[in-house]
This record gives sequence, C-alpha cells and structure tokens, in this order.
Amino acid sequence: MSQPPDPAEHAAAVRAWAAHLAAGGTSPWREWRTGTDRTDRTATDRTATGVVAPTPTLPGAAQLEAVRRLALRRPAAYDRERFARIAARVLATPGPGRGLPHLPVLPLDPTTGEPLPPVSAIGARPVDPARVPVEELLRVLTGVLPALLATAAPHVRRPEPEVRATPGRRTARPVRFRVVGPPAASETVRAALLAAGHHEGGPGERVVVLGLPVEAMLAEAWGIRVSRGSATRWHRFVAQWTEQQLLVSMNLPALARHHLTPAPAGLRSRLRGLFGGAPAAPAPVVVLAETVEDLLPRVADALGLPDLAPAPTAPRGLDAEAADLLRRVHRIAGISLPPARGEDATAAALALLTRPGARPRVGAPASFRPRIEQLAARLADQLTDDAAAGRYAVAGDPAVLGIRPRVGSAAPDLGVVLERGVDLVLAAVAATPEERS
Amino acid sequence: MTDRVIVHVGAPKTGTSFVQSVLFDHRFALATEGLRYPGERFDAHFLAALDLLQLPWGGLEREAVGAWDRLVEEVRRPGPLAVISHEILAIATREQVARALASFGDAEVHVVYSARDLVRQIPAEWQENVKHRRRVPYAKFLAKIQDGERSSKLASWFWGVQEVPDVLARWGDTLPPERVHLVTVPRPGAPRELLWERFAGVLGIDVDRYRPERSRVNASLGVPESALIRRLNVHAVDRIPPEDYRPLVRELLVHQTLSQRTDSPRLSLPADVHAWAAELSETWINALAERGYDVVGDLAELRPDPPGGQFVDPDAPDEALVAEAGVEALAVALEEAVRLRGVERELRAEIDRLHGELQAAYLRPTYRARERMVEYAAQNRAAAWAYGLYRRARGNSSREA
Repeated sequence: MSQPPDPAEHAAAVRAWAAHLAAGGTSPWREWRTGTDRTDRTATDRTATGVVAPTPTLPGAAQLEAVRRLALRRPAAYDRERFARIAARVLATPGPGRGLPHLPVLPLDPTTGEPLPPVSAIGARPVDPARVPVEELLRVLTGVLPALLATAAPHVRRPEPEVRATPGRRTARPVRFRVVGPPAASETVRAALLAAGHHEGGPGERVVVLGLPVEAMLAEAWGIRVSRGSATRWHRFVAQWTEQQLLVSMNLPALARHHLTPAPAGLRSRLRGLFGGAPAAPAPVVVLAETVEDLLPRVADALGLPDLAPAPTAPRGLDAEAADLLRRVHRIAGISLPPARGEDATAAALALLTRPGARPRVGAPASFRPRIEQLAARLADQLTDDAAAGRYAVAGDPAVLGIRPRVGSAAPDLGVVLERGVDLVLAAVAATPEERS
Repeated sequence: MTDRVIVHVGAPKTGTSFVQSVLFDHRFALATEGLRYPGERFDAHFLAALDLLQLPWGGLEREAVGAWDRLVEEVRRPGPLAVISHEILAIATREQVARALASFGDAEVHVVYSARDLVRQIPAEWQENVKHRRRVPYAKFLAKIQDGERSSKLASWFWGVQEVPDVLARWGDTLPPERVHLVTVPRPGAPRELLWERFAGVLGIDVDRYRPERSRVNASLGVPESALIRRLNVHAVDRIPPEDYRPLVRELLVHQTLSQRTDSPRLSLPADVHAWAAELSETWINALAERGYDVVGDLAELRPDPPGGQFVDPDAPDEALVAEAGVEALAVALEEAVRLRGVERELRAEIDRLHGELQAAYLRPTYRARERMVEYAAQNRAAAWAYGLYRRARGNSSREA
C-alpha cells in the first residue's frame, strides 16, 4: 500500500509543472512527474518564474490542463511573455458558474507514476489533469474570455460585410428580389443574387421565402440568436422552439402571406391612375430544398434566371461549435461585465470566430424527432393548402421540411468547442496591444 | 474603515434566511448600536455573492455585475462592525475567498458557518433542488451525492456547500481559528429560540430586543408535496421561464400553499444512507475537533439521531396524498389565474381607451391624407421622388432603420 504524499513535495512539483506550462511546455502531468519528459525543465522554469507570481493556493487541475491546451495550440511565433501572462491569468481564475469544485492535482509516485492515496478524505477528490472533463476546461476558459474579449474589442479588425452588389456588374435581365427565411441560408442566397448583379428590394420586387428541413432552420436560428447575445444551449433552444411557439424565420406560410400584395383600395387606386400606375408586385414564391447548396438552382428557377452561382465570398457565420462557445461566453459575460462591455466582447468574439460559409450544422436529439416531424407536417400542410388556393407558389416538395439533415451529431462537438475556445483566448490576447510589455 | 467584519457563509437550510431576515428588518436600529448590515434591498447580499462567485442564476446575475464591490464599499465605511450574510458563499473557492477577504482591507474578519447534521441536510437539499426547477428523483440524488468521485454538478454543489470541514478550511485557513465560528443547529425538539440565541451571541445582538418581524424562513415540504412539485417540473418546467417559476411555483405553490400542509409524511433517509451519513459525520466531528474553531453549540449536534419511523419514498409516494396536494395546488393556481384575468381585463380596457384617443388624433383629415401619400410613395417611383423632395425641403434627412 502506497503512503500518502509529502504535501510540501507534491506542492513543489505542481508549482514546477505550472511554471513549465506557463513557459510554453506541453508535457502532461504524469510524464512531467515521472521525469520522462523533463529535458528543458530548468530553462523553462527560469523563463516562467519571472512572470508567473506564486499563487497562495495551488493551481487546480482544470486550470493547469487548460494552460497545457493553450500551449499545445500556441503558434510558434507567439510571444513567450505574453503567453506566460495569459497562463498566470488562467491559473488564477476559478471556473465560473456551476460545475466541479477547484480540483486538486492527483499526487503521483515520481518513480512509478502510480496515484498516491489522498492526504485527506475531506474536500474535492484529486484528479489527473489529463482526465479533467472538457466541460471543466471550457468553464475555465470562459472564466477569462469575457474580459479578454472586451479589452481586445477596440483592436480587433471587424470583417467588412461581404454581402453587397458587385460594383460595375451588369446582368442582362436584372430582377428585383427580397429573400426571407432561415438567416444563414437567406444570406447565402442574397449574396449570390447580389453578386450576379440583381437588385434587392424596390418596386415589383419578387419575395423568395426559403425553406430547409425544420432541424436545419432551427440550427440557423440558434446560431443567429447566439451571435446576437443569447446564452441558450442548443438542446434548450430546440425544446423551447418546438413546444408551442414557432420561430418567425421558420414559419414559412406566415412569411409568404405577410408578403402577399395588399389589395389596392380607395384613394390609393385613384392616385395610381393619376401617376401612371405602379408595377404590380408578384406573389411570393416559397422555395424548398434539403440543403442551402440545393436552394440556389431552385431560386434561379423561381426567379426565371438561367442559373445562380454562389457568391465569390460566402457570407461569414458561426458553425455549431463556435456558436456553442459564444453562448458560454455570453453566459459568463452576463455576470462579469456591464452590458456595454458585454456587447464589446460579443463583437470581438464574432470578428474572431465567424468564418466565410460557416453555419451551424447540428441535428436535434432523437427525443425531439416526434415534435419536429409534427411541426414539419403542420407547416407542409399549410404550404400545400395555400399553394392549392393560389395564394403563392411553392417550389419543391414540402415533405423536405420533415427530413433529417445530413449532419454529424445531435450536439456541438465538445472537443472542437474547446479548440475554438483555446484559439479564441490566444487570438484575443494577441490582438490586444496593452498586453505587450 | 470598519473595525470588524463578520461573513456568514451558510450553510443552506440552517436558519440563514431567518438570520438575514432579522438583520434586514432591524438594520436601522442595529446601525445605531454599531452593527451595519449593508444593502438597500433584501437580496443585496445574494447579488453580491453571485458576483463574487461569478455564478449565473436564471437571469438574476445581470443585476449582480459589480454587486460585491458595491456591498463592500458600504462594509468598509468607518464603524465597529459590519455583517455580510449569504449561504451560497459556502461554495467559494480559495481564490474567491482570498478576493473576498482582501476586499475588507485591514478589518478584523470573522467567518461564521452554521451547520446541521447530514441526516437532516440531505433531504432538505433535495427539496431545495426540487424547488429550483430540478427533476432529479430522490434515489438518483442520493446515489449522486454518495458517488466517491463527486463527478456530477449536483454532488459538486452539495458537498461544496455542505461539507463542513472543507467549507471552513476554504474560508478559515488564513484566519486565526478563534475567528472561525461554527454555529451548530440544535437537535429537533430544542427550544426554537436557541439557534437565534447562538447566532445573536456571535453577532453581539440583544436577543430579546431583536426578533424577526415577519417570517422569511425556507419552509419545508412533506413527501407527497415534494413528489408533486418534482412531477410538475418534469412535465412543465421547460414551459415556465425562471422569472415566472419563482413567483408562481416557488412562492405561491410551495411557500404559501404546500408548505402549510404539515400533516403529510416528512422526508427522511433510507436506512443504508442514514448509516453512511452517520459514519461520515463522525469523521467530520473528529476533524473539526482538532481545528480549534470557536464552536457555538456542540459538535455532538452534528451527530445524527438514530433512524426513527419508517422511510417514506418520494419516488413512490402515496398517490392519494399527492392527488390531494395537487387539487389544493390547482385551486390556488386557478385563483391566481382568475386574479390575473381581472388584471388583464383592466389593462385591456385601458389599452382600448388609449387606442381610441390615438385614433381620434389620427382621424384628422390632414393626417390621413399625408399617411396615404407616404403609403403610395412606397409603391411608385415618381411619388417616392416627390416625397423625397418634400422631406429634403422640410429639412428632415433621417433614413428608415
């Protein structure tokens, strides 16, 4: 039976490992403790100890592992002192919100690497930092991110809006259009139409209501809500918006009916006669497809265009993992920053997290399928009835609303969310000139 | 700078609401005697704790940004004594404790923690979970807190606020032990005033002069009532936002209605969990005895009473009793719905009246003509051009959002 560790020796080892990590070292705790990867230990310790002030309490396993993950993804050219400072900040930050307590580092036998029995049966159980759940690592990172992002905000270059008419682009027969529906799909189609030289809005515009499978529309709506400050988890969002209420961007029959041309009446008719008459706005068309990519040719058909190529630069958006990271940041920003600074943090995060063509591709958990199928069937029935009554046209099979999108999983990939979190910390610190010494 | 600061850090379900109620209700009188209980709102200390702990709490946290510093600013004003009290402070990490203690400057800091035996605390914590929208069955709750790894959030929170030696180590390790006060909750059947006398002794308050003016005690539920609320959570919690759950379920149904049903069976522990809790309590008592803290009461009071009476399982309750509680809750909920419909009728009448006044203003002939022209300008280029000219001539260059 092993003896409990000497507390002083264990504390010294943990502090030495912390210094190794703060200097950019990446050795896992077990390798470090058993001496199989300590070749540069003296040098890295010397570099880090000048920057990392000794903390009154031993750094926790989650904080240490988070720093190691930062070191693993640190670009080679990343400033060492800057990294040491962010490491010190992470090591001193308790995980905000609810989660596991401050987890002590598991004492290991330095010769065998075997776990040693804990000194006390009281308090949180020690853990091997390599086995700290990803949720806890994310918790630590989201503890530092809101303030880092708010500080970085004035220095982060905001991407220019790519969705605009192509200057000088002329098309033989430009159409006037307005696109409504799920936000990311609408932006993609809108960008393609503008890039092709067509005009958004104006008299006689043709309203195109886009429709995707309900799950895909939910995911897009979740992404846009998160980008506007929501802290709602994906599963909670699905539960909320498949229960009783219906998202505006998903209520395709209501959108189409809203854009039906109002009947002329009274004074307006008389004035129209006087001014020579306005072009009658055509009825909206609902275009349905299984994927955003499939929407483009169908929109072209609906508008009477020969084809419609994607815009040269796809609109920027959040994928599911970036959205999940951002909603975590919002949750903690809500308690740690005043509203104005919180908005700054969101703006900086969006500038650093959005990517051209990215959108949330995530499915709903299987338990929500019955609700989703019911909802899709209701929408499909309304579309079919309205089309049969001649209110508006429907291009595509309404049954597409109920199909399950071809996406990998029913939740954001936590491993990828962590990578995004690590990259965001590094990017926010790199963007902030105040951090330079 | 205040001379002395007392920080009361829990534990939940040990009379903390009672103490906070007395301190808040008598804060002006107490201030004249040198005890300052800062904060203009009753929940000022709760918000400050959320801020210190960086703890989101169903949307309330937005009000909490900077609340710790605001409370501390009041604490630091010159005077003999200031008191901060909230039970969720028990969960603080050592870093958060260090920040809290450092914020008091040179004041002499005392920590007070009140503790009750585990056999009473475990069912009380499950009830607290149920009252806070959770759906976890009792058996699962017990299994989670008995898990040696404490890997669930539920177990992590439970032990974070209830593990007496650990809470006191986190809050008290940097203080002399005589400034760490452990107030033990008397056994069932002890005089009601005894716990208040113990608290008052630590705070230096005259017990006869200061008593609660109104009850803000966290009432407990019986087994069928707990089962009812848990089932309600299972079926409806997704549809009830936290800001509505608090007044309608926790306040109206739980505190004002179901907690008044005192004849139903009370919640306890199964025999095996009771034995486990009793054994764990002994290790705590031994550890605490060695620390030299100021124990107000008796460490032996942390030793649970032997099991008494039959365990009634809230996961398999007497359905007749649950139905009885359900009917009572439904009646109260309907009464509330009737009251709110009355309010809605009044508001609708008010809206109709205002709408009528607005319409009367719109019905002026010039307004209607201008409105039609604007509508027409949206449809016709020539009219839009003319309308643009008119606006420029009028000097209004604003654009639509």
